[in-house]
Amino acid sequence: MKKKRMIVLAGIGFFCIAFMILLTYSFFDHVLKQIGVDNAENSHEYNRHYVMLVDNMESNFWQDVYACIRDEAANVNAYVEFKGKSLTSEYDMVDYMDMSIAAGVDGIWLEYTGEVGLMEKIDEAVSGGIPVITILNDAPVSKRSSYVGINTYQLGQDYANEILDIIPNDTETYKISVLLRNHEPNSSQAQIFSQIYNRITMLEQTSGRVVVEEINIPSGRAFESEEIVWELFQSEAEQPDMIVCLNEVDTDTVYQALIDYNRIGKTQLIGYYTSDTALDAVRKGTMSKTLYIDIREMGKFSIQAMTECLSDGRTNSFYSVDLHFVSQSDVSQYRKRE
Amino acid sequence: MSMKIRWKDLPISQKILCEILITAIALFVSNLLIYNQINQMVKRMDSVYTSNVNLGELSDHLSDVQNYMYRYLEVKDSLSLTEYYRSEQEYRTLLGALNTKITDNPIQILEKNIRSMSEEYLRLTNETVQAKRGLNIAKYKSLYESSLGLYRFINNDISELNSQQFKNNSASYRTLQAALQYLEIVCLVILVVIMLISLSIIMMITKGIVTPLTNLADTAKLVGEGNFQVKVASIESNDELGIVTKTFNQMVDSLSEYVNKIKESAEKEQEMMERGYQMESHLKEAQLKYLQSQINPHFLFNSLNAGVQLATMEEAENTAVFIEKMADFFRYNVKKSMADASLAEEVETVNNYIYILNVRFAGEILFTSEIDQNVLVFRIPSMILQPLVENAVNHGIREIEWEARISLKIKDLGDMIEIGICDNGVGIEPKRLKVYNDEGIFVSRSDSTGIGLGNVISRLKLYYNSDQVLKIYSEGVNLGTTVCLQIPKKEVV
Repeated sequence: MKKKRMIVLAGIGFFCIAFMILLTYSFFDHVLKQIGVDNAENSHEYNRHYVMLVDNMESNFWQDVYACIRDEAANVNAYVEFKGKSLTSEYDMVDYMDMSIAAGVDGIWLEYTGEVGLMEKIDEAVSGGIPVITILNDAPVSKRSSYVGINTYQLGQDYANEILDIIPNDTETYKISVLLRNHEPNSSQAQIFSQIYNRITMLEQTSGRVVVEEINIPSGRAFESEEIVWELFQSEAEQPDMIVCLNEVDTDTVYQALIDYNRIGKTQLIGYYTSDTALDAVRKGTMSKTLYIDIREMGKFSIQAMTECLSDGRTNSFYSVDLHFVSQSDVSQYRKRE
Repeated sequence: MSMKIRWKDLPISQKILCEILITAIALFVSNLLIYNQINQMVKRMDSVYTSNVNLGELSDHLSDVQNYMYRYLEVKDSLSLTEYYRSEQEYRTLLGALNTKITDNPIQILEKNIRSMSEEYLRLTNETVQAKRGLNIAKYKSLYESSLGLYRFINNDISELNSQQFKNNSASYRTLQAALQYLEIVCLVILVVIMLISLSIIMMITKGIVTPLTNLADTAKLVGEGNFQVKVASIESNDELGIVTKTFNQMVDSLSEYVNKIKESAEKEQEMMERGYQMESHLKEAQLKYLQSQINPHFLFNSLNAGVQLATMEEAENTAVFIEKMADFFRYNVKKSMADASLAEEVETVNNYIYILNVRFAGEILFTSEIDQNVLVFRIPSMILQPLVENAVNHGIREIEWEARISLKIKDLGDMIEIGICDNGVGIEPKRLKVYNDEGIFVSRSDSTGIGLGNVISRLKLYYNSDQVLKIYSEGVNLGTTVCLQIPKKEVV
């Protein structure tokens, strides 16, 4: 009886110790693995290395686009590196192009910013065998392999239609301010603006009484848009009845300024991209409309264009991405789609 | 044939040794394992920042390449060129350690970029140096610009990689630190568990040793109090305790048996003693009766009385007295043969006997007596003095040529009475005297009255239960004999 008890006791003890030692061993194995070569064993290896260069890495829009492109790229066993300007970066787009070319990547997606020398870099890369696909903003005169984005003409027309929907018929004067980031004549934004401008000013019902002005926001400096918007609301001049943003960051800034200067209801806002804030504002009616760009489609087209370029040497020069304007009536639908 | 060693058969010392050994081994092994882990951790901790150190080296060599190239472009000396090629070679070697695979790990992709850019950079620097050698100023100037740009990018990427790795390494370091803390706790818990279990087992073993000892002590106490029925519960083990317990039980068994034997033999002895006493007394009685039955009255004193009357009628005075005395003598013999007599009666019988003898042998014996009258009333076995006197007559004075004398002395010694019968007869040789006194062997003569000295001595010994009642003294041959009798005073009932 006693002997049995002793054996049981010794057994329990042995089990306890063995269990604890095993636990410790597995724990430490786990720890050592976790701190092992920078999680290298958890990473996946790919065949191709692409890079995506954008003007503002911090924008939600580009982050979402990157996520889509990355997911699509993973399907064709490619890795996409996300690079671009940010508040802390010291480089401009030309530098990033230089880096990417020197790093010998397999392909580049570039948000064309119209920077001096960027066009040459596109040409240099393409000459070096690296396909460059512009996204959202095109560099049509460069040797870029393809463009994935919106049809600026179409988008300008759509914008104008949406604006016309909003403009009341009974007002004597109506001021529309369009915030532009890239004032280069050939840029997408400039084209969009000219479409809007032409459409509004040339229409009989609006010509004369509706003023469309462009406000250029110099890129590269922090809080530039805040300053411009502040000036806009503080100025002695007539304050705009409608502000059209062609950029996600500007949308957020202007919307915040409308709230701060108590301009809700007085100044209409047409936003850009279906960020949570924008959709929320549209749902509440504090933002008139916001542009929806199908980023999934963008991701898909981007990969399709790149893959075609690399395999066939050529591809469509233009992939048009689907877009809509989200209003209060159909905002719930977009929420679901998101 | 291999003997199976059972745990319970091991000696206590070996059991304790085994236990301590097992505990020590358990502690040793667990500590060994834990220390192994700690060792790995410490090694790991040591190497945590190695990658940062390596990157620092990489950055240094990159600077060397750039600086020596610049110096060569500036002064175009062979030393700078040599140094440039050396640092370029070293930088290439270091680059070999960087990753070339395309992965989604930011550090690895950074390494790949650094490597690719560095290769491009080295290509540019080499071209620059070649252009300088070829004195193509415009070319080396533009190539230098390009390489400088790349140099900045690479440096930037290296510092980016460095900071990312540092972040990673710091996280690793923290994880390791936390793990070490956990290890400390585990170590402590394992040690405590081992300690508790060892303590419990030691306590159990000790209890297993102490309990039988306590039982043994208790049982020994009971046995000491005389209880032989108790036993220590038998232990299965064959160690010292098992042996002690078994031996103790055996001892108790044999003790009990032994005590029983002693008791039995004491009882037997007691019984035998009782029987001995009884037998002795019976024997005494029988001997007494037997001895007394030996005294056969040959004379019919009634006819003697008739003789007395006849002598008186015939006026033979002396004859009548003689027969009367003879009648008295035998009457006393018959009457007193069964019981005690007074000393006075004994003395009277002696007087009668002497008278008879003097008549027979015509007054040859001169008999004197010296008696303390106050002791005559005390009791004495009958037929004692007469046989003694007869003995003196028969063996002492019968054959002598000189005048025969016999004296009877009775003295009062207080508690005792001393009776002495002296003759001046043939005496006894000292050798024979010793035999008489020591062994008491006497031979009766056939013409005696029937009671010999042996009989008297036996009766006296039985009666007084003592060997020292009668003593015979003699100075030597022809120097006479004294028989001395010392008896305690016994009142007449």
